Amino acid sequence: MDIKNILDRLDLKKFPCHFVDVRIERTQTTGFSFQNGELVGATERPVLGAFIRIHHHGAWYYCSTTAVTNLSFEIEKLIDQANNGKKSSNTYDVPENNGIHHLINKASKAFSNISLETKVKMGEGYLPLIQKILNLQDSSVRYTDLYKEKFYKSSVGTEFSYDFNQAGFAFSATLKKDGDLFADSFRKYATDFSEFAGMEKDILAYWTEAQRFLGAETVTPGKYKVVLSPEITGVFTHESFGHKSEADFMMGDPEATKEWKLGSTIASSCLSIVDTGVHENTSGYCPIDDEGTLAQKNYLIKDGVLSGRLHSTHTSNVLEEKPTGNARAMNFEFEPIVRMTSTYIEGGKTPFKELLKQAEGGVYFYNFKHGSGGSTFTIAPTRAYRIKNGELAEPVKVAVLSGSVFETLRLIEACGDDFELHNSAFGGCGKMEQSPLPVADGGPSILINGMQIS
Amino acid sequence: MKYDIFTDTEESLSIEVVAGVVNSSRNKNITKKGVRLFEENKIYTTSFVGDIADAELVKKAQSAKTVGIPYEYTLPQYQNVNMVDRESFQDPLSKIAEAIEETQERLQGFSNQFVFNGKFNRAIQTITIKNDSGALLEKKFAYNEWYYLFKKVGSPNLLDGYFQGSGRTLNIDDVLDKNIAYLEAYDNEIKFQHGKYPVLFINGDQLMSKLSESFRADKYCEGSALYSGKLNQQIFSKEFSIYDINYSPEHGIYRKFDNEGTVRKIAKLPLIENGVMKNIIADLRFAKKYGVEATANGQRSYDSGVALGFNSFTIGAGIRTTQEILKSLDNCVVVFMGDGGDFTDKGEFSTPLQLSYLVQKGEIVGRLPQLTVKTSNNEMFNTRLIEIASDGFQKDMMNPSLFTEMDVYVN
Repeated sequence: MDIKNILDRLDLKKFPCHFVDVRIERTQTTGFSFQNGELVGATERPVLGAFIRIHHHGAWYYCSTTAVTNLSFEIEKLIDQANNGKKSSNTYDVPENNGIHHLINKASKAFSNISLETKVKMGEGYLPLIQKILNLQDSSVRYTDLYKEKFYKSSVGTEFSYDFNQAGFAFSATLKKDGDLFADSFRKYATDFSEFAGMEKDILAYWTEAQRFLGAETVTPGKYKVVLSPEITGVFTHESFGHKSEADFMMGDPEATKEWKLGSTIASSCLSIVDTGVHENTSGYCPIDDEGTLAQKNYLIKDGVLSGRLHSTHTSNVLEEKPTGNARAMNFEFEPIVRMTSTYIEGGKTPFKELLKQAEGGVYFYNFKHGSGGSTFTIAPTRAYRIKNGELAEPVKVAVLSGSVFETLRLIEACGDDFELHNSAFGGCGKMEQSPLPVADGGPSILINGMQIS
Repeated sequence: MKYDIFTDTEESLSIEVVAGVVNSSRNKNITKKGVRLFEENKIYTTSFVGDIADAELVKKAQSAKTVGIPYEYTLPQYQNVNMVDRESFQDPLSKIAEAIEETQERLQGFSNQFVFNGKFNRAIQTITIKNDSGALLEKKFAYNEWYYLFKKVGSPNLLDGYFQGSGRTLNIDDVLDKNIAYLEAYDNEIKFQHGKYPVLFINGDQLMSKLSESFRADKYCEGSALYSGKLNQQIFSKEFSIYDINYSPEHGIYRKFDNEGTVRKIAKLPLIENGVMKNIIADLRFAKKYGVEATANGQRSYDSGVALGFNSFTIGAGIRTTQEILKSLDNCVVVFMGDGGDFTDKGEFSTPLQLSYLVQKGEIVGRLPQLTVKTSNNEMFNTRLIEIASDGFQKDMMNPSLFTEMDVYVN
């Protein structure tokens, strides 16, 4: 089906409403899973659907539909609904015409070009490793990929299309020795299928290190100096400050704009936090958001000073700031809301070894199971080590690492020189009903002078 | 059986409230279909989103067979099962507009103190599984869910709390009655001391997450669960029971058949009864592999493979109500928001509390500062278990309130 042609034939200016836009998404997802060496799932999921928005009589009216060849009818239905409903008082200044951008360029490496059979064979190739991992009690080998083409047109004339391509592989296991359990997962992200070849050595090395966590002691609760790896720095950045930068939480609260005045110093001077959708081949790639705003590099904090926040056109209207390219929807069933793309702390200059020296007696956190934001953010780590004599010492177990966002931002003492952007094809960011949305996060290793371990 | 077809149709209306004003409404009416072909002990799956005739979908599946999932178990004999809850969908979807008006009216007095954002959703869901022999398993019901996030005016937080409700009917009054009393006490932040206190999580699902792993046949039988090997042993307090319940219309649970077509005769499968571990759950694959009984817990979406899951993981109710227990306790930490916590692999649990209140003899004393609580699986449901209520904090909550002592730290 030629989707661009469908949109070309749709004259959105003719509809009698304040604003209308249409987004069509064609998605192909595949995945497989082996559990304890047995194939238990292998699916291909083709989806084609559209999301329509109109703004009329002071409110938004949305519709998600699979009838992509009948969009005029759906738009007319929404206008009827608006005409017959209660009038609302929200104003919306229509966005500027951001031009026409057609950026579909990943089709040659699209995972949808590769047969499910080939993908499953790739997974099968790693099953013999199950026999080589010591103390392995159960295992799963999983794979997921996504190729999405997105097409958009609005009544102000903005048009775009782009494609998104990513895949992930995971080799998860539970180890058991003398009644002690340790569960973890080796993961690999790729935008080219060939990157999944030859991972045997990495997988075995990962699980060899995991053996050290069997019998690890639990850390006594308390405040510790900590060093976070780039992966944990990423989740910290996303959960602690990224969500707070989403401007929709300020809606209806004039006091919040005073509290969150741009230009205030809120963090250590070594800290700069960025959100941007421009990075190709990452899980946070979003060159144009779902309202047609082009991606840009948005500093949320620059050298410790509050410098920006993330907007949709609606929140930028209300707060009288510029849209930032952060209105994103999980898929064709949902409306765009303010979301992150790739969010990270900019790299510093301190070598990793120096960070460890400065965190003597503290704890190093390597990877995590999950994190969450709020006034207190939390990270549930998987692998953590004590820091002794300026080096990583024995592994330890920690249920939760937590801290107050604003206190922690001021307690960051140094940023490492080992910047990495962390991508994931499994899961993503959750907000309200829309989960998971692909995002990326990262940064360098960072030293924080005092976080709560419990 | 040559094939079965899983059809999931959702028609819904969502209305969003931003800063106390209706901002948007969203209509959805989407059908998703998946077919499973059974050939030479392999399952081939093909799916489609949108309208497609069954025959055309089967034809597509036959021409698209690539990777089959091997199976060695016997497929269930599909029987006709009908769970159409007509009364639940008599009201139109737009009925939620009344609930929004009522909520806004009741919260009007707080509009200078708090900003409220929320969403109401009413959906009619129809799920059918039919096979080539003409057997039909069908359920159709309406379901409502809503939440209101609140944020203190000027607060730097994303949100300072929330309340929510869900179920076959919208019981707005009960949710607001239970929550407004605490909202009124929000501004009274009190001082607190470290110590051991009775704690009630009004929604305690996260407290069960480590425990629930032990009832999965795969984890239990592979020896990788915390309570592997403990079947028929007393592992918790005699007051503590857990069930997997597959039919409870008032809570939107209509699962007399699972998504593999297995029908379970008992609605309430005991997993722990009086502290003794009684059963584990298994889908058809795990039942065959580990030689245990299939318990109709095979879950899948229209296009996915089967995954083992609970219908509901529900604590057995006690005798006294939540309010009666609260009135009997000298001190109780009542937790409204305790997000982000987790267990270690040893079963030790910790979580920060973003919003909690101190209640003394049933009276709300005030809002507590940011706390962290710590306990473990073995303590929570055993030596430090205080009491389980006969009801949940709100009427629409399926799990009764669980009161247990925890170590509480001021952050």
